[in-house]
Amino acid sequence: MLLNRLLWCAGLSLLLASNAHAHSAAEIGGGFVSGLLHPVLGWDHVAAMVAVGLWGAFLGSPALWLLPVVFPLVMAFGGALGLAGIPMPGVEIGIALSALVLGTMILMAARPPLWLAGVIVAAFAVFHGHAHGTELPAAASPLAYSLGFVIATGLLHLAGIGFGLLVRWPLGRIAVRAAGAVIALGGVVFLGNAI
Amino acid sequence: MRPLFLARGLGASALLCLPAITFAHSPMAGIGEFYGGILHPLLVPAHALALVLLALLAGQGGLSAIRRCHLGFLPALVLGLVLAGVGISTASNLEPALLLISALAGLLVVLQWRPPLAVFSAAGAGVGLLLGLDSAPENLAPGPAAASLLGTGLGAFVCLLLLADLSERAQRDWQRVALRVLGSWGTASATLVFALGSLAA
Repeated sequence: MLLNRLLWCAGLSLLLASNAHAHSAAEIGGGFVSGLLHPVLGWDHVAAMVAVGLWGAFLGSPALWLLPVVFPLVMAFGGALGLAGIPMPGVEIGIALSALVLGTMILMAARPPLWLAGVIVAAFAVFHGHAHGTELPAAASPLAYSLGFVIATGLLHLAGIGFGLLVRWPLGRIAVRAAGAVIALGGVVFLGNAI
Repeated sequence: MRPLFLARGLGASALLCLPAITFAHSPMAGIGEFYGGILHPLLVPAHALALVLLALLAGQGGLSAIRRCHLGFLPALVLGLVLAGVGISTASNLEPALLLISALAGLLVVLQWRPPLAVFSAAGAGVGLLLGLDSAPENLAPGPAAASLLGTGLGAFVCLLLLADLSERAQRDWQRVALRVLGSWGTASATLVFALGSLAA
């Protein structure tokens, strides 16, 4: 009986071991969905990402597409800093400030030069990337996870751009600036929590 | 009674092993090794990302760049798959090299800078070789392994061909912007995971 049980256990363990060798579709899918949900489930991330899209739409082309392109690239740099174990003081404060500053820019209808807008967005992207990067090692399939959260980030930018295109109409302009005010207020709350 | 228990136990273990071997390389149960091989480059994230970004880059460079890219890609892919088939490739982790090429290709897509044509051949050859070497079938008999490798080669080639063609046709302003955005997403993901492999403690 004992030998029989041992053989059953051996059979089951073989099944488990071979699953671990394979490119598990469930693992990849799980990692992707987990990454996709990650930015959406954090209000501080959502507010900042939408603000990038809103501000880009407010500034018009080429900022419309340049800011959402710059953001993930610099975010990856921030993520690499996090993965390398390079400490960055005040990551949560930086993330909260990103919502506050970008929201204020939209509220005030600020139109800085393109390079300055790019630098502001890039500076905040480093904080978001650092936060994501430190969470990456725990992911089941890191590449699927990172693809998921980069795509989710891009879709949040797109949502901001979509809403931001309302600036073409006078009432839409007011609505977009009001959205900026809401994001800035959110930033104040996030900042209070971070401090 | 004891030999009967032994036989039952061995039989049960053997039955448990069978579906495991089938799942080990075929991404979907029951579709067979050849079709599983076709899907393989699309279901391994590093392979899919490398193919997409290489295709975007080649397509952006125009027809001559696509031709040069395929001239490098096809022979290198075949070589890589043959080496994988004879068991030469599996010793080292090739994903970081694929990610590095992906990140650079994505960056070139974002910048919309057209490099010399030789770069397309080199990038195609690099991705083809690494993708082939990294596609070694596990626990398969020679026949199914060859079918799987053949499928992988066909899947990777068709994927690159179609995506490069789509990228080449994207000529309108918003389509070029969409390519830049895709390039930035791919570069960001590849950079992060490359950093995870090379920088993380």
